Amino acid sequence: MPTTNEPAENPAAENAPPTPAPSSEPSLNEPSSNGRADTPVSSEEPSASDPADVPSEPAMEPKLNIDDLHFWYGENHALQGITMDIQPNKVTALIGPSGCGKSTLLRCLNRMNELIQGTTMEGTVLVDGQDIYDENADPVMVRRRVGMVFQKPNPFPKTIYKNVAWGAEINGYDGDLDALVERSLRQAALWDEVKDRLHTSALDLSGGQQQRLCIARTLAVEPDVVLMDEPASALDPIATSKVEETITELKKDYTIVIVTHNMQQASRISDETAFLYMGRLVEMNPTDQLFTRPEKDRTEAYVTGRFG
Amino acid sequence: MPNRSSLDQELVSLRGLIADMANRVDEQFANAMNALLQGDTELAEQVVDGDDAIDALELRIDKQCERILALHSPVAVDLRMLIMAVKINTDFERIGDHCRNLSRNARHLANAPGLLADTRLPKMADMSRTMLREAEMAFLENDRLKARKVIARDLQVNRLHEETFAKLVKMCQDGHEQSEVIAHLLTVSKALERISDHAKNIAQSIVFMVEGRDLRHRGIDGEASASADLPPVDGSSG
Repeated sequence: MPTTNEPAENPAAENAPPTPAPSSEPSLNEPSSNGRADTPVSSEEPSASDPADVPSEPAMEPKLNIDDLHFWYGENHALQGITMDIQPNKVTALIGPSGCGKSTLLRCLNRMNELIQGTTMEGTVLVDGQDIYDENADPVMVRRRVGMVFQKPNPFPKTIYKNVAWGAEINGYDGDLDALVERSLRQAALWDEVKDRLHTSALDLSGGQQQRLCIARTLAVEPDVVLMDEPASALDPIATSKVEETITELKKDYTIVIVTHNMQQASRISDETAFLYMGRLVEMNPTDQLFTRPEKDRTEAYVTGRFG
Repeated sequence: MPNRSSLDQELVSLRGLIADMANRVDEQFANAMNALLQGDTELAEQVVDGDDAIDALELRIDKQCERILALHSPVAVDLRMLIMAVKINTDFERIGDHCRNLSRNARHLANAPGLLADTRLPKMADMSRTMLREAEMAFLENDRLKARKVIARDLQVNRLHEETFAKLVKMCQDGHEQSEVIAHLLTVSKALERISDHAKNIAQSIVFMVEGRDLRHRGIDGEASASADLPPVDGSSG
């Protein structure tokens, strides 16, 4: 039975069967058969090559591999063969004019697009080498490992505590829920602002606080990758700055992919930037390079505002 | 996303100011050399007085650069244009200072007509001035090849400076009766050599703007060895 100090706020937790917690084990097709304490977050198979044999600097395995990804909305060929690697513990920004496919690409990374009728996808997306579109992969597990924060803050009309605890509760989390809520709120840099009002409505928070609450809610199910679709575009500059600081802080523990229309935001917070245009990847490079010496003329024209 | 039309206007205005700066400095240089060659102290005075206008223009250009950086946050080629503008502004202003210093020698050389014309200094002045004008053209036309030619010429001026320096020292050692004038000629030679250095710097900045490539300090052998010894500059330690 989960122990909690807040029984009135947690009827679901009280009534939940003592099933195991959400797993941080990188399997995508075993929804609820793993304990969590004995399986550290790691993608390494025992058969993986000995780290000692690997040269130390470039040996980082990409967190996500996207290979020849195509996507259609009906007849509209929205992604036309995207291939890119996304490095772990980095912030990768996707930029490009409206309709270039960046949000579509982002949603392909946790199978959100398949919820839309009349769409088709080809190509592969691997997370830690595992195909998230494999027929045995469970979309719910995929989305637990690859979480998402949306453009507009969308807290549930519940208390702050409930918002964060929700995912863990429905998954039958049997750890210390209070500790999970606190840890998630701290990671989202919101704890100090809400610790004395955890049981008041999330809808009373400011926009920036609501967005950080949504980040905390995403983190509470312990994903590896966090996708963010313009997470600060509906926020004022101070709230934007807090969300940006939070993102920078989060990359220690998570891999982050962010779609943004704000190129200064991309340049401030990301390590790598990918520029998409008309469904194709034009250029992907370290952010400082892309904004100082872009390789492609089209990238330069876009970042300097000469078209778009 | 920059407001392109407004940024373009600001850049046009900045380029206009720099072109004005280049013209004024070029004129100062011509006047300074004429004052020296003709012993024209009045013209020399005019050059000294003219330096204030160049200093004022330097401040105005820097202000315009600061304004564009603050209001438009330029990136890529636009950012390199701004970095170049700040740097060549300083180079032009320094050339202006050297012109002022050159003309301060006029009164001393006026007592020894012919001595200056006897040296390679007029040749050095011609070459430095060609470098300055070519650098100016390279700036106006964004012409990286012209800029690279300017850079190559600097070696010739340096050689002439060494030659002149050795010759003047020898004249002193041989007991030339006008050793004070010779000391002034040494100053002139040094000033001309510095002017060509600044013209070279301007040309290097133009190559940087157009190509995104930093040609300075090639002796360090490019980025590879330089970055091996220095801490990383990506600021991502936090």
